[in-house]
Amino acid sequence: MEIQQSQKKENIPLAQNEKSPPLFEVNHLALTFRQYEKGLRESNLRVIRNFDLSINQGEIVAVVGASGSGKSLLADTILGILPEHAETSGNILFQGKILTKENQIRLRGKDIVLIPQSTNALDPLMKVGKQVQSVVKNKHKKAVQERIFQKVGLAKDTSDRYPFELSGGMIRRVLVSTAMVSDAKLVIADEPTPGLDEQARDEAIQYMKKLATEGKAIMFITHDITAALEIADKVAVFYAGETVEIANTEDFSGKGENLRHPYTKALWNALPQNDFIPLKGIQPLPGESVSGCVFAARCPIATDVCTEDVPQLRPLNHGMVRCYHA
Amino acid sequence: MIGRTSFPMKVKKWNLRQRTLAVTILSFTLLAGMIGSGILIGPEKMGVDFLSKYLPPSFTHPFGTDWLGRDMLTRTLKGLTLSFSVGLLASTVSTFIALILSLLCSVNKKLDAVVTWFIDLFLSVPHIVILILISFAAGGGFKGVVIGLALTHWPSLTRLLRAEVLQLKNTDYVAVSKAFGKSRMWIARHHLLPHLVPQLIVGFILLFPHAILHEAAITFLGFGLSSEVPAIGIILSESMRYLATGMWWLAFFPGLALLVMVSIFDLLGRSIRKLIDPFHGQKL
Amino acid sequence: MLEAREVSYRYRNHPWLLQHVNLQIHPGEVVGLYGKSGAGKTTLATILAGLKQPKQGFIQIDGHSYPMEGFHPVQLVWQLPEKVVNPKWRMKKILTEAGPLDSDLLAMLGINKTWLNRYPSELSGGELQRFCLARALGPKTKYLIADEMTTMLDAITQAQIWHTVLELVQQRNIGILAISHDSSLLERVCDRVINFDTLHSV
Repeated sequence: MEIQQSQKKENIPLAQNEKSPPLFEVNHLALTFRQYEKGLRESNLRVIRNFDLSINQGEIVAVVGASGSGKSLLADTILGILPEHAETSGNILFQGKILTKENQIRLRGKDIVLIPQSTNALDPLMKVGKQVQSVVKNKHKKAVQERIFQKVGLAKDTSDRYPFELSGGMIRRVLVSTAMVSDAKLVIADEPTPGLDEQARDEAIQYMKKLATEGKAIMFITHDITAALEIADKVAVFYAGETVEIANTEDFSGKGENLRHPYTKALWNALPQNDFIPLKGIQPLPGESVSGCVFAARCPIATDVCTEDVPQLRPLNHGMVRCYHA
Repeated sequence: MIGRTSFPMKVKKWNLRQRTLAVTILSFTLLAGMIGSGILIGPEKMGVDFLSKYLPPSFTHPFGTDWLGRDMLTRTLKGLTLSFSVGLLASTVSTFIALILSLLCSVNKKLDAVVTWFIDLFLSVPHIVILILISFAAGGGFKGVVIGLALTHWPSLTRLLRAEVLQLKNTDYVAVSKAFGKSRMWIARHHLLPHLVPQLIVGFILLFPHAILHEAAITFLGFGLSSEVPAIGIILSESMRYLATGMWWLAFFPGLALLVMVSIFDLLGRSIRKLIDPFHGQKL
Repeated sequence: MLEAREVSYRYRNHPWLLQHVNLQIHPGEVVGLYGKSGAGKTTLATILAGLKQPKQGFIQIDGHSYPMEGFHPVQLVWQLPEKVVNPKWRMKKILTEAGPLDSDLLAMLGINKTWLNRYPSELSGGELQRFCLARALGPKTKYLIADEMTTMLDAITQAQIWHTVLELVQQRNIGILAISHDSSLLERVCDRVINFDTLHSV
């Protein structure tokens, strides 16, 4: 019964908000780079094959994937800041409307903002207070900025400093405050945690949680599944350019019995706090042609059917999975 | 939809790299044609013919003739060939100087300071002044001009290469290379040089137009090549006397030819950069 | 034994970053090190690997003092493999820079022979890190400093790489200093774990 219900609304993986359409939705997104091989031949390198995702208001969805899965290009694709030799297909919906090139330009920095991975993202020649104020829409720019700085634990005099005078952790807080003061409805955080010590990492995660409680939708791109599980409502597992599973945070427990896709299970069991079991093999490299399921070559439960056809993302047990045998 | 459904796409028209390559080949052929014809023209064509002096452009003399009845087209082509050889010699030496000096910068801070000081010194004085001084001191003529040009055109390329070298020297992979026990020479040869080659080639080609224009300029001013050689600068300065009497073709065509050659070099340099610099190449 | 004695370091015109650091790593031992960001762990790693000279104090391997000539017996594996390979080289040249290819080692690390003809930009971080590890684990390597070696990698690749490294520690009696923020990882792979703050007294 349950399965039938969610099948009707294929694009909404969770049953929670079945009434209103999700704030942000991605369907069958593919991304290809035009490349020159040796000499004059052009070839196409497919980096993202099948990315599906939906995020509701106030929800944090983590996109978890290994390096080389193409996840770092997701943010660029959504914001429309890809280099010129990139081609996309599939569709992205924001507030129920298709996100066109023009809309991307209009919305980015306003309704959709990015918390970048790099701490070099601030303007080096502008005081950080000014940079945050420039995002505020209403008249009380300074007041708003001061309040936010207090909220994230930055001293008052920080606003008069230049980025080079701040530590990495402080810059991260400034970047988060930029997202907080904006009227953004969707915040994309691209790998905000790696290389931080435990305290700084917890802080970064808590800021994102704060953003969500303010009603913003958060897309949290990371390879760190532990960080993802601490705050996310849903976890989209990304493998070799495809969403292989959309799981609920509670599903990650025990030996991963509630997880749907064998890759997600392997990922869970490879954590040092779990069994630290290394799954053999490697993820297909971008551009490597794979017929059928991208995970088949490493999958412990793969059968002939897996190598023949690409499985479709289907709802299962309050989540989604792209596997024949789940 | 973002973008159109453009996969798989069939490229009917030429892709960018093919177009760039076509431009490169075309400009190269044009240059070769100019210089080749200049070399092939024998001295008999350069003769004086008082029966046909002061002729405006016509089919027999596309660029007209001068006050001695010499054909301006042949003189222009000869002049361009001369300019080219001056430019070639000067740019080669300049590029070489730039490479050596930039590698010296990587040795230690003191040498770097010395080289930087020289760059600043040369860049702070107007080009043409040092050029005249050096070429005068070197005895003038063809040799003087080449030495003058070679010794004045390295600073901006050196500055470019130095920045690159210093950046490379501080990369982690060079540090790791040292930990593998590799010598300084090995690192310069294998790590630094491959990164500098594209800059060198492009820098070399883009030095050409500079050198050629400066050669023409000092020759025009009377400090360069001696007045019996058909250099573009000489042609231009001689024609100044006749311009007032309405013989516009004496200056117009040689000047235009010089401009065309310089622009072709510029185009060639840019196209080659697009071809060998992967960043520009993939993007555009 | 790799031994750092009274090692101090500071960047020009900055306060001391490391002061009186004392550390010993025995062959075949895996030592974990954790601490706050920016505390100087990476600086210590580069000093131990001979890439920086300490301002005070000294480092010895089996009684031989730094600096060392030739292939350094203490090799460092960095957090970001992209930065320690020359982007213009093919992987084969990158590997052979450190010495001849060791097919057994490549197989253990799961390096596919077809990758040898690729450029670094054509491989992902996980694959590149395997190469960096293969390169650092030459026959002359006695100690390995793993500075956040697997921080940027997914859990499966992390487990794969650490399993291989631990196997090699057994085989070749290599000593390892593992620097990480991930306490569960350190607990899993290390024989003993040190808090960076207790190492020195700034």
